[in-house]
Amino acid sequence: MRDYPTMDLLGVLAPEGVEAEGAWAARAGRGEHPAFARLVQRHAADALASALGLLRDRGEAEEAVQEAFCRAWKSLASLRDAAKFKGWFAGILYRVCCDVLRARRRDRKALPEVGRARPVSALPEAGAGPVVDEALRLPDEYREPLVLFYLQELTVAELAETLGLSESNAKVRLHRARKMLRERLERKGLP
Amino acid sequence: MTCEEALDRPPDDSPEAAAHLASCASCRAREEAFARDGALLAAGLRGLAARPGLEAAILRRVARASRFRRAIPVAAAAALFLGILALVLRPEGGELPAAEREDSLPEPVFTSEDPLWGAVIATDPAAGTVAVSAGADDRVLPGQVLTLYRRGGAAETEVGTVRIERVEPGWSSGRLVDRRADPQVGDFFVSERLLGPEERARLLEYLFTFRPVPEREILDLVGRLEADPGAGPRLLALGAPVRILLEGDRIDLARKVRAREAIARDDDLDRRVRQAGWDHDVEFLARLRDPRAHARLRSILSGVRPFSREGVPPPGARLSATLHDWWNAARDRLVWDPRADRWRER
Repeated sequence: MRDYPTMDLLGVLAPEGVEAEGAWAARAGRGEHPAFARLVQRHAADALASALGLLRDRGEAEEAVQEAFCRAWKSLASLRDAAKFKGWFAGILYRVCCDVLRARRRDRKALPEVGRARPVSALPEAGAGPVVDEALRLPDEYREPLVLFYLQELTVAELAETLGLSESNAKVRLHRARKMLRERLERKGLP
Repeated sequence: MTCEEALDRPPDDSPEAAAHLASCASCRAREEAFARDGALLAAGLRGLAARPGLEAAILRRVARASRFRRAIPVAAAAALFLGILALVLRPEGGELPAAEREDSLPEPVFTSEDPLWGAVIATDPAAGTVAVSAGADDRVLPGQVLTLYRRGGAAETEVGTVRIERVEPGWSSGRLVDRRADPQVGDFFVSERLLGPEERARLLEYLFTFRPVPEREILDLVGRLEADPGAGPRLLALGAPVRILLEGDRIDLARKVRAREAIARDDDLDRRVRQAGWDHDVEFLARLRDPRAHARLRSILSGVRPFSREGVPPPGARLSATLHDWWNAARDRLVWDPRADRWRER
């Protein structure tokens, strides 16, 4: 059943969810700045959380998110299916983060502070803290699918496209990541 | 399908996997644990990444990159609005004496979030149309509903609502859809509802939590969160300085997550205050009749000329006008330093 349209915050009659996002993306692609502002409003927080998960450095994550939105704005006109904005933008963000990681390796920068977070065994209970702590210690190839899948809420097909893998490989990578994280948490005695 | 196959299977909604999960409690528990880990990871990272003003920063950068005209920041919009208001309120035959001008300044307005506001610049009572001082450059959209208010006495009175029909870069116009009084040039509009007295009071209380607090005190409370049930409420009561410290790299991730959970109740207040820039809006603070506002001004202006040498003028009738003039002349050479929590010279 189709959802009833609702009045959005700006007072414009707009359908909810992906349909509305597609409409905003299409308008933004035609150069309408206010529509792009709505997309930023909707995705900025999750984009920053994802970038933080990928880069493990707050300053670099903020910079990456801003750069990703700039690139998205410049190339929105080339997005063929506006309803797929979310997956398309996740790909841009991921590529920007990869650029940052490459630059970091080139500059041989030290691992940011979060990579040296204290051991999970010192934490009293299973909550978000230990999970984040352990997830950020996973190797890049496993941390990336986890972050993109849970933060950006990509489908497996979108995840595969973003990571440049086949769908079955993306599934395997994601599964191994979930399993590895669980095993690490269990080794630390967290249920 | 065996347990082995089911557990080795990636996220899958195939009928075989679903059937196996329905019949096998151990695999189901495993699958639920995966989902819980994912949810906790997402919640934890979202909590860590919370950053007021992020959207505004992105849009400013996009605007610069695309050579779009920059959206008017809230402080500049407020200054513009005050300027318009001053012109409208000015009687014929000269400027008001300073003391009267101070009295004529209304108490600041708080809107629910991301405020877009400005002035009514023209009206046509017969046609029921109104033009306002914000347009496409300020994110106004056709169909948007704006609420009109009029200053007067202790509170604003609602004049009506207007639905925007025509949008130009610097202005827009629309039709009144609800009329409680005849709109006049100089009435102001906001894109969101105004806050009631109780909400305003809470917001002000939060605003004045921006004060120096020894870092050691915050770090000590964060460290005791798990052992001392009183540490959470005390952390919450410290307000904004805790958040500013949590945004830095001094505290490890796990502790940050726990601390954020302890102060989550004020997330909304923080977003409103800092996203709108109220905490460092010189003109806004100058208009608050509260000694804490003056203390805040002294703090955030302590590193810029001429206040670094002479100090901020004392509270009183002239303060608002003096700082208004100073701000107009100085703002291009100033930049807000969130780490130091003060304005500094570029």
